[in-house]
Amino acid sequence: MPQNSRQELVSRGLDWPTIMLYAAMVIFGWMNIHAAVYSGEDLSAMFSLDLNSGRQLLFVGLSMVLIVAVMTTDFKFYDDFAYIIYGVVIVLLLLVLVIGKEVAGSKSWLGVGSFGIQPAEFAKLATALALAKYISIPTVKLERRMEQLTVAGLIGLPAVLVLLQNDTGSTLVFSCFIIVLFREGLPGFYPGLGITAVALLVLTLLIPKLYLSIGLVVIAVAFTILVDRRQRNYIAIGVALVLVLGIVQGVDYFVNDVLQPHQQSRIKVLIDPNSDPLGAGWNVTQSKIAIGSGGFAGKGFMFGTQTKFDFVPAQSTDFIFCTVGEEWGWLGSLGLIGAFMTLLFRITMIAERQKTRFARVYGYGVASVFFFHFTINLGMTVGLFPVIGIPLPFFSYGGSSMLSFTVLLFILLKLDAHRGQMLQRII
Amino acid sequence: MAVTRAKSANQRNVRSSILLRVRLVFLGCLLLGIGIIGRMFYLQQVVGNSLREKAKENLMTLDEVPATRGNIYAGDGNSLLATSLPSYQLAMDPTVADVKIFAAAVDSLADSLAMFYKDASKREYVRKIKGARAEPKRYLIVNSDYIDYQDKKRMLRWPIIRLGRNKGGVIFEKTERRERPFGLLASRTLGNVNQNKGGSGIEYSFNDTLAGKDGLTLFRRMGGGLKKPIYEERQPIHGYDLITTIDINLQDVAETALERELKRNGADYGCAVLMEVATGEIKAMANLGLDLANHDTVYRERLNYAVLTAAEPGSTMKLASYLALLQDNRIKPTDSVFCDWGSRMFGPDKMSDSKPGGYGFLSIEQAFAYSSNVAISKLANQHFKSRPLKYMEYMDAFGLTSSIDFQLKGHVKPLFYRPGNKQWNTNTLPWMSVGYNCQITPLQTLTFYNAVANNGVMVEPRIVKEVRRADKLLYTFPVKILRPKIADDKPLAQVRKLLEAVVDYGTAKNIRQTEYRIAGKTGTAKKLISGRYTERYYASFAGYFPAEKPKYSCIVIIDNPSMPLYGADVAAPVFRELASKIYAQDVEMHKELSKEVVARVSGEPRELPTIGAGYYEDLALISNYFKVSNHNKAAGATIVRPTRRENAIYWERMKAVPSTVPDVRTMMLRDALPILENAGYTANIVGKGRVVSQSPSPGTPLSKRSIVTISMGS
Repeated sequence: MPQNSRQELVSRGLDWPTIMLYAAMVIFGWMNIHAAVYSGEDLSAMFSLDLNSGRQLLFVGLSMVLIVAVMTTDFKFYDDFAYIIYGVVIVLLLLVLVIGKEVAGSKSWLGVGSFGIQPAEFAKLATALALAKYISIPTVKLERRMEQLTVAGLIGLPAVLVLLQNDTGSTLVFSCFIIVLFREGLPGFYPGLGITAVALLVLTLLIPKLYLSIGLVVIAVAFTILVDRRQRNYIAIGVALVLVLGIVQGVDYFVNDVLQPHQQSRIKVLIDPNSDPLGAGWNVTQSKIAIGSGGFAGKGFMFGTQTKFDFVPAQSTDFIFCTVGEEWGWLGSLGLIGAFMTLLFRITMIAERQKTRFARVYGYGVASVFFFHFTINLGMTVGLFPVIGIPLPFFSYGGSSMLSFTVLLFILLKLDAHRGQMLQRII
Repeated sequence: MAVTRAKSANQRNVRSSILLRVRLVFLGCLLLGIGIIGRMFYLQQVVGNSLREKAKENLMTLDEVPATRGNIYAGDGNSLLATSLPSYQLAMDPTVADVKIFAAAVDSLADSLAMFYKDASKREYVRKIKGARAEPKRYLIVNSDYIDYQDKKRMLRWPIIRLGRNKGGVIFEKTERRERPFGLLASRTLGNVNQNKGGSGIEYSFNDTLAGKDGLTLFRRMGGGLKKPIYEERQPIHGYDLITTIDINLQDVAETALERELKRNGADYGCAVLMEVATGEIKAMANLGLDLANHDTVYRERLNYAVLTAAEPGSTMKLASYLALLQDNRIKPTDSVFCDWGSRMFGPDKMSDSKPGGYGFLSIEQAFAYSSNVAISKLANQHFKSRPLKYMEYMDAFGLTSSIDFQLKGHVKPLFYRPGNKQWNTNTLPWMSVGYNCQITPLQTLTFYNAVANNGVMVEPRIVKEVRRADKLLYTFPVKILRPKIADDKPLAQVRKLLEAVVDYGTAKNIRQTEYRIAGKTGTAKKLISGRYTERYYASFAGYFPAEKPKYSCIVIIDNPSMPLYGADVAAPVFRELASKIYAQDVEMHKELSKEVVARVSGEPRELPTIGAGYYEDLALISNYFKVSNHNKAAGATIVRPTRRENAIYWERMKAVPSTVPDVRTMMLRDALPILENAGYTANIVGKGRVVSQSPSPGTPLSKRSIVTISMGS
């Protein structure tokens, strides 16, 4: 029975620890959504499609169907159809700009009957596949300018389309692919530049411009003196200093003129939460109160009051972590973070053990996307980062994100299960 | 070989580079993870306590709980004049209802709303609600009208509204509204308190008593904006109730009569105040006026003219002048006075009587009754010209010149010219004696007349007599005597005769009654407008009744009547109507009179009162009271039936046959019901009055616990 043996092979090759982790997160995530929306009705309400918890249960069910679909599709499909999937998603992203529904200021929903999907959620998956496909071409070397421009285009196109939907949060997610590129040989200069720019941005907001400029000049001079005379490149250091000072001077312009008012206030609130306590600061302040009031061991499941009584806006979507923090305390949060770290570690491990570059790059893509979502979401919830509306994978309420993260993960697991066969295929 | 080595070295390099990169990425992840864990720890452990406090604040809110305002009752202590009732405004969050439910039900909801409020069509309501939902507006006041609890209950059966707050988005905004069960009755006297803490009338003057003190309660915020009380920090102290002296029936009569006179004369405004002589209790205080600025044609309670307007009273003030002369022992009622030829010059000014050619010689009583200006000004000038201060002393003693301390805020102080003032000249006194050169409120004039009626004891007018909380009496405003004796008994008795003469044969003989006597004085003052006397009048009538044993005093003012314009013609009829109404109701007042009447008619009773069957003792008592001759033919009988012979009644025994229906015909329910029930039957009562017929008919054998229907009628 070839059919049977193949099934057996797939299940044997599956990375069960990851699947268990996934299942645990989905269950725990749903419990938290239920706790966030439950307000004392009878318990049968948890299955009611009027409530987020009930609908999320439906999405979980749909995810199960998709997992089966992913698992039964030939593993070669993802490799062969990567560009086609990418193309379809690009078309969807264009379509959403034309006929999309606007929800909460973002035109990112494509209506299908009474349900809507957000193509932006699936764009990450498609980009990861396309990127893997391209980088897996043996001749591609990321040290080369031409290839760098091509990957920039592959990532940039969906990113720009998502930005046009006015969904800044999801656009920023695409920057996570720099980790993949770095792993695959992109010169460290690029991520270094990115990190420096972000660091400068934050410093400029925190430290008065004049002091910062003086400090930077001092560092440049010190650097010049300390570096060995023969290796001194005055021009390079000079250009770098001018660039850096330019960024510092430009931040004001960037924050006040380029960013939209709501984005400005989100950044300003981060520096001073009291600058707008009832506006942009409200979310973060209430979120911090909710988490802080949880204490060490939390208030207990369904005993959270801050989240239940609607103090935290978007409590079952982007700010779902508040519920965890409030009801499960520091211990529960630690567990959640631990679980995510384990998942990331596991995914990276899976990626590293791939025999083909396609699967490995894809694996890193998955890890990067999860990492970015996880870090930025938690960071904003605890008030470390500005409020960027992106969901916490498997925890935040939302059909599109639930389904896209599931498929993202399970394609990797499918590829991983067949890693032996892939090698055969290449040979 | 070298190539291979170089290649392998290169490979090693690449491998170690990759390893480095992977480690870097891991390190980055780890650092961020640790950062977040650290931040969590900071939030939950380091600043956790203050955040927990904030969470409590978030959840709890300390809110004022408004105290319920006290009620205002009429003099019977029972009829509510003003009370606070919960009332509701219908508002909704039109976005809450489910799409399908909304689409299906919005039309029928709008229909119900249009039918209920009647201020907009169904289509307008549909547009209003749909528009708000599309906007989307989270809060829409569907109609700003206040509805009562019953209406609210009714609305809760309507579509969408019946889904409640969570599913229908319906919000009933509750407030307490001041309701006046008797509508506009005495509305100026009751007054109001506006948002700036200003106001008028009882509501304003007794605001501290009525308002109570708001409480403070700690609430827990619940989902959906609801609040649940947790802890009462300070209980609201509810306002106390006030028992006024107002008699709603008399108030009604006063307002109706006043309005009719005002309409008939096309006057600007009028007021009528009725006071109980012995206690100063104000039984009715009606104030009606036109809003002249807006060319209003409907008389409303606009201003408490009785308290808030002081005007030159005119001839009603002659009572004070005569009382001063009599008290000073300068004249006797039997004295004769020559009224000149209808006018008299005081310096450059002419004092005239209304009768062309004058009254000639009159007795003092006649001079008062006909209200001769010449007579009193001549007498006053003659006796007090050289000592005007003495005259003013009398005015002071009569309580006319100093303000009374009335319970309603804002009573206008009287104004009298005084010797020594620059306004005082040789003409001041004669004109003051006829009620000019002074300004006084109707209420104060009445207080003076009341004192005359009360044999010199001047009591302060009172409109609120008790403060209560529920059934507990907290405070009684006592009868306050302002002046124990404004004049001696003799001059007081003399002026009372003068006042009676006014109604008996004088200017107010048009209101003379046969059953009881009214004493009073008319007044028709020319109005002083911007320093000149005009052809506009201030008509009044002040007095008391019954004249022999005064029980009520009353003043009626009609301002600027167009035709007729004399106090006797416009103000006195209102007085009479009030007096007659009281006379008809007041049994006490009848007591002495009824004896007379009964004595007069007992010789030949033309008509016997309707008397039916019933308990002997009750029937006999009533008959004896009304002096109806009655004889008992059935000694010892409890239930009797009357038979009439000539002008007498004979009581006959009514026999009850066991196990048959007793005869209860012609009985009142008070008798019929116990008789039927004692016999073991259940009564089914139809109508009211006396028993006209009964079914089954009397004597019918009927088992116990059967139903006997009795039809009542007159």
